[in-house]
Amino acid sequence: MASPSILPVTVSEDVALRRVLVANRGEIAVRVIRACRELGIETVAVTSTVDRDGLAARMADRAVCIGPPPAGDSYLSIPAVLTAALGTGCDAVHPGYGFLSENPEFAAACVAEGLVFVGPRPDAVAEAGDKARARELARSAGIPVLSGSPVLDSTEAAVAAAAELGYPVLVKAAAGGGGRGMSVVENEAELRARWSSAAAEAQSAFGDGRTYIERFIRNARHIEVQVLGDKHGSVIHLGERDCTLQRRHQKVIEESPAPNLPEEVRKAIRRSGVAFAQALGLDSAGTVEFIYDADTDEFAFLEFNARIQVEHPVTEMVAGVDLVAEQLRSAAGIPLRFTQDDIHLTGHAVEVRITTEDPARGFLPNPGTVTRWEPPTGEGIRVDSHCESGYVVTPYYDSLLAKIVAHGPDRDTAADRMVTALEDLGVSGVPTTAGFARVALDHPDFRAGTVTTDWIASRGLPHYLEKIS
Amino acid sequence: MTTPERVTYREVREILRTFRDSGWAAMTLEMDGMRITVGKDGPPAARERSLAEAPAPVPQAASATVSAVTHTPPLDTAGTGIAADAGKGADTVPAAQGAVPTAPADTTGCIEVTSPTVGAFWVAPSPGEPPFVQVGQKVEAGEQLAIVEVMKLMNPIVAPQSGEIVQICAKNADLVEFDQVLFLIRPSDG
Repeated sequence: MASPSILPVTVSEDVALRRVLVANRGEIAVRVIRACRELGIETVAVTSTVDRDGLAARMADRAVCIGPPPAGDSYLSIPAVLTAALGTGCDAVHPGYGFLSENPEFAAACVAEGLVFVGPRPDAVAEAGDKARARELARSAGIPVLSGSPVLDSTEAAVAAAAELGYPVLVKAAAGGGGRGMSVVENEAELRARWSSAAAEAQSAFGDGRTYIERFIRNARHIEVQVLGDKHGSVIHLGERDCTLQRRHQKVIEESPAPNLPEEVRKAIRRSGVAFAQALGLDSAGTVEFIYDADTDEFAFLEFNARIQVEHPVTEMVAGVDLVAEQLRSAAGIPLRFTQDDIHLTGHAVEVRITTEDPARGFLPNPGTVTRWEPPTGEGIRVDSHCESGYVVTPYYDSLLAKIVAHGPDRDTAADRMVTALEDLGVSGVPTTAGFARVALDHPDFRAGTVTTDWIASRGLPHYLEKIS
Repeated sequence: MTTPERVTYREVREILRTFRDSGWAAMTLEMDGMRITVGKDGPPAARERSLAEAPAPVPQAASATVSAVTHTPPLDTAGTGIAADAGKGADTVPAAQGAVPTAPADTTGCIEVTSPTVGAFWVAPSPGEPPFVQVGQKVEAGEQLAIVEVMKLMNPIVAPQSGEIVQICAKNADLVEFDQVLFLIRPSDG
């Protein structure tokens, strides 16, 4: 008599996910709702007033408006989110990425209220969220870490530490992340000028003014390992992603596997990812980020992200694993259904983030109404999006409209399919990054796999501006 | 299908959820020395009266109410204050404006009092006490009308103007949303 829609993901009497509150918005809320549906789990979407009629709210079994547009009063409000979860009889909360996803207080509050937090244990979220502690954990697990200082409490200490490391150095907030809270300093004069404001900025942005410095790698690539664990001690990796193409430390194009990487380095990075996850006791999905020095082939641990990543689809495409579904299964206490040997990475996948930003104006976010939205289709193409014609991009949240993912038997095929998809994307009303990504994908540097993290600023954007003028 | 020897609380919740999501209007279930009677538009015996009261029932699962089965008082001070079990969970479901069966009232010229937050809607200061206000009652500006509770934080809802309570738009213990209309008040003058 039970309809499929209420079949719970059950492992025992004690652990079952029947109804999940999706504590997020936009494409990731849609993504999580879809995964829940496939597992037969009901969903409750929370929305601010501007997202009330959005795709996530319409797809969920129920939507609850929890506050006004500013995220602090809605998506970031722990009491509002928990009240909605408890008041609708949810047994779990999926935080998506951003917002409350890596807030250990929120994870702990969910658990205290008897809700399953779909993510790592609260203490692991806390451990990973503190960059200095995460780095210590990596070091103790035998993983290379960037030469850097401990947390420093004075300008003089910073100057001494930088002299030892050698300029340029990176000034980083201990609580920072996602590219926020860091700046490159070229010499002592700059460091002296920067130090106190860096601490003040960290305090106001993260509520934690602790800062430290790190060696800055000139020709750096960003490579991260997708790891997955369960509550029974198993941890595996699902290969690595290359997220080197960034502007203002925000990723623009991601791919898997990483191109142009010596095989022994690839293996060592993957092994290090698993080692970190094991040291943390990871019981969910997570990402171990590394910086790779293209000049020396050295790599070093950067940070750990205790959540699903924006760019998780490239891994899903090559691994054939639904990472959000696996998060939900792990949260329900179900053991991983595969061992490392069962994971076969096939072909190559590339993802482009379509954001409403104007590359010609320094990637300035551009709110407005999407008057026409026609996502591309085709062989190997996947689009994760909450966008539709008439969708209004508000100034309150990030400017991500969609993620287009192209999969192919090899890197060039995947990139070619992406180029076609970007040409087929029909979007009017707001500027997007699609045109820039299309130009970047055809650039010889990208095709050769030789881009570094400063490529967009130094070469990609000037090249694009020249092309469109 | 074998008859279970005993029924767990979890199974009762499952049965009630299944009923709520089904197309059924009412159900009586007897097992293990227990008898459960539930109806979506009120107790099955009183259904006709309920329907008369609610001339336009909202035809969706979200409008289900489970009335005959609850033996717990509507205000649960021991727990979170917000219904999380199936019976009351279903009871809190009709959060959409206008889903509450109330006699049609003339609401022209009324002002709306909306909820400042998502939360549990309480019509009385505490369980067992009389409600703050009732339909037809005159209220002064600033007079308390209800409480919306967010994680044990009690937010008083007060009348923005003096006037007459024309409609109470949510039910006690409902989960109300941010910006949801809670009361309609006809201002005294002007």
